[in-house]
Amino acid sequence: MNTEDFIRRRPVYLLLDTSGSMRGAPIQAVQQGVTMIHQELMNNPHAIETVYLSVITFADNAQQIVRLCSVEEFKPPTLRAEGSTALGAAITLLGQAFERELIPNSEGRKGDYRPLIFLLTDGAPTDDWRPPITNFKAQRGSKIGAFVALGCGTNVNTAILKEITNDVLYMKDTSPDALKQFFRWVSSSIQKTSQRIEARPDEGALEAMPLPPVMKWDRSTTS
Amino acid sequence: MPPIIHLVVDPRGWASPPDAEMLTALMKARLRGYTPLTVQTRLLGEGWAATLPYEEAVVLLVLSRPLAEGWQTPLEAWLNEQHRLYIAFFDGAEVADLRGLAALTATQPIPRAPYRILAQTTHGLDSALEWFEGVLNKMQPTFVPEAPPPPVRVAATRWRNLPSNAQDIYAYPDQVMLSAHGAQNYSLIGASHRGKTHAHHGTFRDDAVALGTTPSWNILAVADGAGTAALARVGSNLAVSSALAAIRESAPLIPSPDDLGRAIWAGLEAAYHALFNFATAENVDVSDLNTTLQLLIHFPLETSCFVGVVHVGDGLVVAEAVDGQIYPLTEPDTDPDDSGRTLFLTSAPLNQWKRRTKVYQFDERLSIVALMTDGLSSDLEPYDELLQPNLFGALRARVLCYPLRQRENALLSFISYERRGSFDDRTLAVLAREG
Repeated sequence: MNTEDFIRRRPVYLLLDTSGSMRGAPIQAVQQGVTMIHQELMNNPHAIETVYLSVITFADNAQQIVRLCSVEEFKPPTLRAEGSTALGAAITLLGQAFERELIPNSEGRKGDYRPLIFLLTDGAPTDDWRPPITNFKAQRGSKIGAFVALGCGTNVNTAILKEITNDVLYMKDTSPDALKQFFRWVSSSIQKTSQRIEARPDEGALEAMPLPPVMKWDRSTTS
Repeated sequence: MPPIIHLVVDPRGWASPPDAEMLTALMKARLRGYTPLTVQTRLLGEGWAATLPYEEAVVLLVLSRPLAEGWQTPLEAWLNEQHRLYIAFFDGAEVADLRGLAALTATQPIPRAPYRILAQTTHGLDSALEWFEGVLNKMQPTFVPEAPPPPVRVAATRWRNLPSNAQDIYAYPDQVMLSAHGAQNYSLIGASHRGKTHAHHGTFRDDAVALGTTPSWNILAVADGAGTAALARVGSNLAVSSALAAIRESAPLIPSPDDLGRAIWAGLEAAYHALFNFATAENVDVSDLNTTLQLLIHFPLETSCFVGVVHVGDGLVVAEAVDGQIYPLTEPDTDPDDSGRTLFLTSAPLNQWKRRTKVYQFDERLSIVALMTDGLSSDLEPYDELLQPNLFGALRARVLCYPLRQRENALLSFISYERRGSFDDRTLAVLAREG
C-alpha cells in the first residue's frame, strides 16, 4: 500500500484584535489563550495529524503573524496591542491566505477540510470593513466550515459582527479568566471537530462544545 | 514571524561597487535594539522584481540607473500587506521609473516618497539606510518577534494502542484475518485492522469481513459500521454474516448466470432484515446498527466469468482482469459536496437498493478482485493512477506470493501501515486466481 501522504488538513485561522484597547491584561490573556490552544492540541494525536493553525492579528493594519502550519510546527507568537482596529484589512488578508494556503478539492484528490475561523475583537472596525466582507462572503462564504466571531467588552459592535457571520458570540467580561474560557472553548471545539472527521465527516460543521457561562450566542436580528 | 529586511542595491554607476556583506552589517547595526530582524542584501540584477522574497518582507530598493523594462507586472503581483517596498535613488535613476514605483507604493500602510541620495558613495548610501531605519522604526510596533521557547518543551502526545473490552457482550476482536480455498482454482483472503482512533480510545473495530464459497461461487463481503452508531460493530458483522449465509442458501447446485442476480439480492435482503430484527429483539434503534455493505459473488467459468455485486455506502470494489485491465465495479455513495458523507444499509427502504444489484459478464478471467472499506479506499486516491501499482501490484508482491495460510498474516500486515491523517478501520477482502 502506498503511504505517500496527501493529508486532508483541517485549517484553523485565529483572527485576533490587537488594537490599543486590548493593551495590558486582555492581550496577555489572548497570548496565553493561543498558547493554551497549542498545548491542548499537542495533547491530541488526532489534532496533531490534521489541524493546521494560522494567526492573523489586526490593529492599524493586519498581519498574518503565523502562516498556516501544523500543530507541531506552530510556535505561539508574541502579541502586542497598539493602534486601531483594521478588521476589514484582516478579512482581506484572510481571503489572501485562503487563496495561497488552502488545498481545494481536485479530480482524484480530496482537498483540505473546510476551514474554521475564530475572530476575537473588543471594538468596532476603524477601517472600511464592508467591501472586504462582501468580497470574502462572495468568494469564500460557502467554503467555510465555521466562522465564529466573539465580541467582548462593552465597546464591541455585534451588529457589525453579525454582518460578517451568523455565529456571533458575546461576552461582556474581558477579564483574563473570561478570555481563557473562550480559548478553552475554541480549543475543545477544534479537538472535537478533528476527532469526528471519520465518524461523522460533515465537512461543513464545527462540533461546537457547550458554551461556558460567560459567553452567549448573539442570535438577535440585525437592524 | 517578523519581516525580513531586504536591501536591493543597483551596482551601476559606482566608483567601486558596494559590498553586500558590508551593507548588511551597516543595516544590522542600525537595527540594533529592535526586535531581532533578518537582513539580506543583494545587488540589483535582471528579473529582480520577480525574485523578491516570498516571506513577509520590507524591501529597500536603491536605484542609480534606469530599470530594465518589465518590472511593473511582477512587482505589482508581489506587493501586498506582507510585502512592502521603499525606494531610495541617486540622480542617475530614471524619473519615469521613480514615478511608477511611487504610485505602486503609495497605498502601503506607511507610505513614503522615494528618498533622494545626494552622492553615490557609501556615506550617501548610509544616509538612505538612516532614512529607511526611520521608516522601520515607525513600523516596528507591528513587528512580532518569534516566541521565546517555552520554559517546558511541549511534547506531542502519541497514539496509544489500548485493547477493546473483551468482556463486552458484543465484543469483536481488534483484528481479523481469514482465508479459504475457492471455486475454480481461486483463493479468498480477508483482513480487518482497527484504526488509530479506536485503538487510541480502546474502542471496538467497526468494520467486518466475511468470505464464503460454494462449489461454483466465491463470495466476499465487507462492511463499515458508522462511527456514530453505538452498535456499529454489531451492524457490520450481522450484515456480512447474514448476507453470506443467505447467498449460500440460495445457491443452486448447478447455478446459471441468472441465479447470480437473485442470490446477490437475497444477500442484501437478508442483511437488511437482520439489522431490523436485531434492533427489534434488543430494543435498540436500528440507526445504532448503521453500516455500509459491499457484497460480491464471483462465478468463474472455463475462460470467462460472471460477477454479481451490490453496495450501499462508500468503499470500493475493483477487479483486475488477466490482461491487466482494471474495472471498478461500484461507485461509492459519497456526497460530491461532502466527501465524507455516505449512505447506510438501513438509510432507505429495502426496495430502493434493488437497482444497485448488478451482474457483470467478463469474457476473460479475473486475476484479482478486491473489496475494501473506505478506510483503505480513501488512502488509495486518486484511484485510477494508483490502483495498479499500489493495490494489485503490491498485493502480488507482498501478499499473493505466499502460500494461502501465510497470506492472512501478510494481508493484515499489508493494511496495517502507519499513515498521517489516516484514522479509520481498514478492511480488505481479496479474491485471487492461483497460478
